[in-house]
Amino acid sequence: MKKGFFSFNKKKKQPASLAGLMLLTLLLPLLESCLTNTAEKSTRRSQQGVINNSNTVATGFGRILQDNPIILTGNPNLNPGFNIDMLLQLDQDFIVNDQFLSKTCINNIASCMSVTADQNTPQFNSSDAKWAYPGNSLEFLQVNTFGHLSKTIDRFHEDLQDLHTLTWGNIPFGPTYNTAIPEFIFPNNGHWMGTSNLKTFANCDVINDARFDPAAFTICLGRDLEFDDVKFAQDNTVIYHEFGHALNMIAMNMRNNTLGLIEKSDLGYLFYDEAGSIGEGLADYASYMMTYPQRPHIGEWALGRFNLQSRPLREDDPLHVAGLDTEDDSRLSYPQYLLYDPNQPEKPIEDVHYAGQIISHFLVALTEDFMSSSYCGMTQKLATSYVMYMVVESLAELGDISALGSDNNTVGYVNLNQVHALEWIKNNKPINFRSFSQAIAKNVNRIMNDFGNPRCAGGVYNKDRLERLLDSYGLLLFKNYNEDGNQEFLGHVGGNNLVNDTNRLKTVLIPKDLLMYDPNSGASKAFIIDGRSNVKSAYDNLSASGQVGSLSSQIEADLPFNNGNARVSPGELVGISLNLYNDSNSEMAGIQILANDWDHVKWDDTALPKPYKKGKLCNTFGDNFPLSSEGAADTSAEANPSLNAGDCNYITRDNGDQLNEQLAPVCFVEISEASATKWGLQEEFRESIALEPSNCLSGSSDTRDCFIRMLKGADQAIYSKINPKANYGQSIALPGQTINFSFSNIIFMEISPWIPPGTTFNCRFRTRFSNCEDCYNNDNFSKDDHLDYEFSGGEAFKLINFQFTVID
Amino acid sequence: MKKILFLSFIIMLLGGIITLQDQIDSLISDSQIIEEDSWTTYEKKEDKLVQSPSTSKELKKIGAEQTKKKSLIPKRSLSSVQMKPKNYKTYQGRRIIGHIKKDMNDINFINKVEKTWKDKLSEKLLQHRDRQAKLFIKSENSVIKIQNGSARYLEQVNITFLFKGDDSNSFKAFVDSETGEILNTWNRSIHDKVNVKAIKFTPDGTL
Ligand SMILES: [Zn+2]
Repeated sequence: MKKGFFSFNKKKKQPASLAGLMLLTLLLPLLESCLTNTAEKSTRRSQQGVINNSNTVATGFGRILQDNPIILTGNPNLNPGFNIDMLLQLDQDFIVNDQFLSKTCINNIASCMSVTADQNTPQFNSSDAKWAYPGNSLEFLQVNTFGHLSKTIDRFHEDLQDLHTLTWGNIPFGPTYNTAIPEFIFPNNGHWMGTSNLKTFANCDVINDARFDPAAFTICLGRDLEFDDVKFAQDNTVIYHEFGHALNMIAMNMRNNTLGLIEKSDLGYLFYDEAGSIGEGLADYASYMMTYPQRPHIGEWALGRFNLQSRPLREDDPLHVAGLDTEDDSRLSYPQYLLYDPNQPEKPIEDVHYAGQIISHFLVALTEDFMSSSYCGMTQKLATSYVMYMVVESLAELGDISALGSDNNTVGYVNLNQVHALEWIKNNKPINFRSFSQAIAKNVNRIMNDFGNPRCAGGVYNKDRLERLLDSYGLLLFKNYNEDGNQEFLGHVGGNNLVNDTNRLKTVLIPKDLLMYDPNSGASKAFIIDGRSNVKSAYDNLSASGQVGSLSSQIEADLPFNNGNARVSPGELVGISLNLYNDSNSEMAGIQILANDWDHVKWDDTALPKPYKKGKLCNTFGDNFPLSSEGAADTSAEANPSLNAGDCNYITRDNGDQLNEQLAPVCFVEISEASATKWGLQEEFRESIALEPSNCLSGSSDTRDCFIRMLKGADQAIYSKINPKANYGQSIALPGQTINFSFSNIIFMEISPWIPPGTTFNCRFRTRFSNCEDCYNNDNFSKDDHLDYEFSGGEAFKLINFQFTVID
Repeated sequence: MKKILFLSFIIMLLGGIITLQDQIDSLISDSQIIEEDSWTTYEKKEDKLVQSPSTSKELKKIGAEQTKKKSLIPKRSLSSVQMKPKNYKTYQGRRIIGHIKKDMNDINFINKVEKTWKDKLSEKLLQHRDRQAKLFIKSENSVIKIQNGSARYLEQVNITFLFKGDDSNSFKAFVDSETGEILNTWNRSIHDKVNVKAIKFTPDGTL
């Protein structure tokens, strides 16, 4: 039997969240008996359920479902078409004192959220501002959506105000730590997306889909494919989840919005990546935070009932496989459970929602630890609020395009600088399970382990306890808390908390050199996708989702040169997926293959204005490429490390903007000279074949990637994980299955139509992974994190050279 | 020797701080200049690109609202006097992003502004499309991006695709003001689809 998925045994199938169901069945009568009857006389529960109309509620009030229909009925097999009125409680819910379902937010945002039935229908109005409608009506669906969203927004803003007070409210001393929350967040509407209105469609005209569109600032809640009257908006946990995405976006851009920056950072950039997985886990946690008593499961009705895609948030959920429980050694840990769908545990799946379960489970476990009567003894409300503080602090710092990370920091504390911050967030240092865990740990430590402000039952939350909890989830992926950040001059001079290595029992860190090409005989170096219809469909999808930008004008529309011969041919758009292998005895996860420009050329013509065009490749990265006889730059006179900009042993401090420094594309070309062949720049090759600069893939303004250009946005690939002593294909496909690749596994390259057939290229990719021993730290500086500028170079990566010859 | 090292460290630090201050100066707030009727709809009909101002019905469908008039937000409230960021700098009526030069008149522009940028963009966005799609483009802002000592005219746009069956995708982008080329995108849609098989590709072979 193989390790991993195939050894999972399904627990005896039980109704989803049985404990939750029982609890609610017990609580429901209690809730009703607590009724502070503001209702009018005619309110009663009958065989038909609560009479939910304007006569039975006070102004501004209505009724909404207190949970999703599966939980409220206690019937996991509930059929569509049931009478929703039966599930309403007599108690009324405050909706809004207005004639329309429009919400006002703090700091006078006149309309921060509104609900309509769908994209085509205007808002309906209630002239008496009463919001009680029959449970199966469209009006009810909108009120239900509005009521839940409104509660969530209030909770978020309340938490944010409390966090702001906790940090900036400490007059006259200022924050006790360098908070990522901007001091002037509220006057600048950084607590929202400016003054935008979050338009929500309760009966959105889409099937089997719920969606958050940050560009339009809309939430769309669709319906079931098979059963028209099964609406996603009937499931409060799905409403919370979708708002969770909005919350992630607001938190990520809290600093950017406060500063008024135009561009925004996203939590995730590919079909599958770890940032996107963290986003889904956090959105699930938003649901946990909003349900009371807390419900560690999401989507029993909208996702689970007819599609078997609900998700647990705690290990003791009956939906989970046997072997998982809340003991330290049985947590849903990284990376073992990265591809685990509890609904189909035998089938590995690379999907952000399921990978995100590790984050949601960890945050629920952290919350429950805060609530533990034998430790911090917090209420659920307080515990979830504290966890939200840590999440918001972490996202606000990691998503900061101003590169400050805090009003009190200097530029470069995070994400290099303002010019290249987005490149850092997308490619060079994307949010992954390591950086997120480290940021959360830093914030737990500074908020909960503060002797000046004992917040855990009069004491502090112990650092070792935190590390052990993280480790039980395989998330103790970092060696220090990196409080001093990553700035060029300051990033190694602050005092950092170090992780106590004895707490790392489950988390395994692997040396980067154990990531390599599959060494088995006959194994290929890469898989190639160059068939016209495949590539056309891929580009169609990637560009429609905004992941990639425009193709070069040198690549003909309709891709007529894509011939599907599994070779790289002139004029093609080609997808490649490297056949990488994990030579360690542990699972390797979050493997990233970078094909963006980096600092690996020594430029010769630095006396001229930029862009520099002449230079030689640096052979100083341990990949032994190219040999000095093959055209490598002469570094014999260089110090190592060097302080001279321009040297191979000097890494550009600002991603190539400074004098004498400039990035180079990953691909080089073999150039034949009279006596030998050597590896040279694409520009040198262009000159040697006398190709007009205007025929370069980027046009005459930039000839550095004249012949082979990585498609921006598809210039990196991610493999979720690779099993020990296996390649990626063997790790993701079931035995006997052929390997298929998703968008996130493929790097796309544009191949110039002007390349003479027979020309050979070498592309020097930088690779690494999240549970890497030596990709993020510098042992010479007490295991401190690498400074941000170092991610322009090659040291922090395992280099993989990929050679191919272009043929027709 | 140690003193020299320490001195050079201080000099580097000061140099760094000056550059940092420079960078902070380049911080800019969102001008949000909103153009009147700035949404345009594009569609491919019988292989021809057809464009029209977006109708209010279409805009509702993608959750967008037609803006009525040209306005400059944000309105400043009293408390916003405390705003930390400085006002954005402009040149030729466009907001400048990136390292701002002392004298903008000396700067080298690597492109120019052409009225056809939006048509070129729509052409590019629809040219490879197999699925039947309507494309909506809204101009949101015009900027100048300075990097590596050169300047580039850019347009900030909101792009929305509406596919058959009302599936839609939206995102924001910076686009070259001359060529319509997309340079950076953000705010992409997040879908929580159920029971939808991920699109996968079988390789054509190995190398
Ligand atoms: Zn989601």
